[in-house]
Amino acid sequence: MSDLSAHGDSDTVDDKVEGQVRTVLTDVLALDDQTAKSLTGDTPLFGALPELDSMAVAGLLTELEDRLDIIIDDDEVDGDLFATFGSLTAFVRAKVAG
Amino acid sequence: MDRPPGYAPFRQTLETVGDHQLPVVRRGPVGTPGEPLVVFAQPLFEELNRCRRLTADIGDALAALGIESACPDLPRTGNHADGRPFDMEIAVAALNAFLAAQTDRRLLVLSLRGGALLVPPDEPHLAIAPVRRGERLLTDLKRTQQVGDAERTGGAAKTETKTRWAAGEAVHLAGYVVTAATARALSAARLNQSIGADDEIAATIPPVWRQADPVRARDAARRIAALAQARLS
Repeated sequence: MSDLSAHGDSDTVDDKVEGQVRTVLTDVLALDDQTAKSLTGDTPLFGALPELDSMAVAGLLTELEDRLDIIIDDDEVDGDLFATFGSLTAFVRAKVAG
Repeated sequence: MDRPPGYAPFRQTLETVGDHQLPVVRRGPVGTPGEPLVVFAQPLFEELNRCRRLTADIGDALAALGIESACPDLPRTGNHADGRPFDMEIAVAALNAFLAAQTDRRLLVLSLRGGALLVPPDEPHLAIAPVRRGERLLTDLKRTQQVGDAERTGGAAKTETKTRWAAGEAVHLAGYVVTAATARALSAARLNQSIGADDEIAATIPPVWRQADPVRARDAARRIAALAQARLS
């Protein structure tokens, strides 16, 4: 029971993080509602979303730091990070988990 | 739409304050002594450009409430004739001089983002989405440059900032020349904790300062104007 409960909490945190990442992407890139809702783990980001250029990447990182109270080392930023919505969310989840 | 008496949508002037000549956009009624005046402290670097429309919309919303606003372009920013690299000390001095020149007005400084770091601590001040530590602006500039470097060179080149600033050199970052003095000033800059930053309203504003093609945020502008009006009353 406790395992299930813990798992449930973990899911809640994961959902919350995913929601926050989606909101930051939507706000910073000014995505329309349909595009924002259609983001799934496999959705490609960098190179696929025209709104996501190099300046937007920097803004996204800083906005994620501010809103989720995390610190992202510049050495951690590479092409894979923004490959898909799933890769970005997984990275942020790991950061939030500490 | 009904306009209050004396409503004027837009006046662009070149105003001399102390040693500075500043291009200023004024909106709303031409104020007289005793009447309120909202003075904008605009964001820094690229965020200034991205917030131009929001700033104008706030000025229009204030004008519709019968409140005059003035938006100066400080030296080495915006449309100012001096296009040399931004200097925080000069910008602070010019903003101080501009505020001092608005004699007998009930002043409120309305800052956006990094503009908050320029405002004298004893001025009535409404800070919208303020940058609380100046080093965050440097981080943004360095990151933008880094991502651009990586795209251009496949990761082979990296713009070195720390050692160059330590050597007193200026560094070109994301379209802006950042001098060693400005890097030092921004690194040390902290928002005065007594500033009236309104976190609630900040959370409802789209972060236009991060958007390549900023959305129009008229509702947010009206909410900010109403908040400024409340602070002035």
